[in-house]
Amino acid sequence: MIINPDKPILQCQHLRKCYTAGVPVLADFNISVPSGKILGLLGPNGCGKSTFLKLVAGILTPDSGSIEICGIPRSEETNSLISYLPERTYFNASMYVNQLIEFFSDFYSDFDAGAAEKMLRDLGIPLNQKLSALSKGMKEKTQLIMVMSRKTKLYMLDEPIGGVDPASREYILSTILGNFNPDAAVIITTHLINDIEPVLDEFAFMGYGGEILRAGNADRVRETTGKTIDELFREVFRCYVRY
Amino acid sequence: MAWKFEGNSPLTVQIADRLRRDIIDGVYPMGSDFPAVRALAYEAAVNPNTMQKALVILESEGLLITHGTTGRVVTTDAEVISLARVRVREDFVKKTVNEALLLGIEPEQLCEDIRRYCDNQP
Amino acid sequence: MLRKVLKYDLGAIWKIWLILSATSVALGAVGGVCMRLVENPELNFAFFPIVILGLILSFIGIIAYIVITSILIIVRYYNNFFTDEAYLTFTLPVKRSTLFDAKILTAFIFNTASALVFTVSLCLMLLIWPGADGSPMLFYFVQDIKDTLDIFSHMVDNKIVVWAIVYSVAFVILMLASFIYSTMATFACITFGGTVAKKHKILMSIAVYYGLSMALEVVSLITSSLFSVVVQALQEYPEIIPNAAIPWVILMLLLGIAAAIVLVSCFFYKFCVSKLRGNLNLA
Repeated sequence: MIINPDKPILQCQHLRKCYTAGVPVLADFNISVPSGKILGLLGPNGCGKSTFLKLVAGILTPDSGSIEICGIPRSEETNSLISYLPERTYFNASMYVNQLIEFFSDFYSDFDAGAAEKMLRDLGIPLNQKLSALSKGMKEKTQLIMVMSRKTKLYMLDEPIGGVDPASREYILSTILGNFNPDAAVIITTHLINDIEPVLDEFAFMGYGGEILRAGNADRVRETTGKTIDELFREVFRCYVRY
Repeated sequence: MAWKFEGNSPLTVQIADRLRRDIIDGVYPMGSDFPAVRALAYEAAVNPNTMQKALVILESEGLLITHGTTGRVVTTDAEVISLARVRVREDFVKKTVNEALLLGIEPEQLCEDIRRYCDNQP
Repeated sequence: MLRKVLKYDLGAIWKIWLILSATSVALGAVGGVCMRLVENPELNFAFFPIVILGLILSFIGIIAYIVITSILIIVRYYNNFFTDEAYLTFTLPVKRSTLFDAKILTAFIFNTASALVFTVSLCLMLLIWPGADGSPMLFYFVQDIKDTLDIFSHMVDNKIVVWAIVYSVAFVILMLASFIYSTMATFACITFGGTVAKKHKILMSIAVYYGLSMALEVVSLITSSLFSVVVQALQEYPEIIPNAAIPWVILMLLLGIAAAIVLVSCFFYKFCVSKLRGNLNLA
């Protein structure tokens, strides 16, 4: 695979996806994510954030439109350029932690096993621990560590800080920052806008059908509107009704 | 520990303010090596690009000096530091007076109240 | 890549399989011991029901072992492709067809291995089980096979021997085809339930499998009816097909059925891979 360094890490054009006939979850979605950016996709439930990530990850196939990663059309090969963290816990619970590390090392040449082991040790998770014995919060952190230990181009995190306590949230956000790479891009979807704001470069408000209501530089928002992104979000979506 | 931010001004401004105070207070002594952007961003739990913009602000004030690719150092120029101190003071006064006016306190009344409070302190 | 995926597919099952296999062999031994006790005239009558129970359970256990192996393979297939684990499986940089091929190979390997263990368990039982003159039952079976082969080798008409071998081979091919079919059909039903159905995926899979079995029974009925009609016709009009050609006709029929089964299996394979390449209805 030849990666074109001039192309954006992720480029989607005219993405369309309908679940039930006639009702598009994404109507005509366009997005371009350059390298070195952390982008926050923010929007109400059902606006298509998760669907979009699943389309890029290959879990779903679009009805029409194109997805390109580093200029290469999406395929099973480009999966090696994407590190995807879904909302659900996706590992086989009967596996042990060291087996999971071996698994990732086997399939992903960019997986940094040493970094993963160090992070797990810092959390106090022994390598011979069975995954099913971990608490829900620990499982989520383990999953995040696996995803962030890959040294790849595009990281997609679907609600990484959703169901966890504030201390865990801080840990997760610092893990994301700690792995920041100017050659890569990170897309995060979340509802916890206040927590995520300091971490973001860019933000996009997504409405139903994948409509982008507002987008831009995260830091500029306070300058131009005098509001935090959270406050702006509430303002934009207060009277927003599904068509 | 992540830094706490308020909602009323841009993050770059708040970060620059905090680092400026730290430099003035000597947390980063004159002439010392200033931490790298990424490390500082990680500590503060902010986006590295945001941190970079804040450091550029401090650079423009002369508090930080970039040595090409080797990183940043705190200035050795004492005048720059005292200028910064003055600025911090002025910003504080400006903020206080504006807030007082919003509460309906006139500047002269404010000065009187401050003096009285200080006299009554042991 | 296939080897890597296979490593993990096999790895997910082999430990449990090993325990089950050991249990099966042990049950073979237990069954043999029970038979030995049954044949023993000095046995206290009070122990009889326990021994008989032991015997029945051993037989059931060994047969159940084969069933459980299939269940293990099915559960692994479903979990890896249609539960939350699929988020990991299908975001690997591996072709979907490769992932599916690994599952087929896993099924083949484990089913073959289980068949072998099953045979070993039975042989063990027959080894311990004493025959009329005290030597193990197994020896009698082996002797029977030896005698049959002896008869064949002394046959005057070589043609019958040749045809016997040919038909045996044809039956083995038919068995293999049926085995391939059952694996493919099972995977296809699970895939159908997993990707086409939104809710109640497992229920849908079972329903489709049931429907498929019904369809198969109908097809078998039609085929055997046609077969008996043909046989009737041949009996009434023996001139249609000369005697010499009859064995060939039967052979063609057997191979034809095997080919049809393999064709249907290929269709199931294509179906599975195409569904796995499309939208995965994950939660």
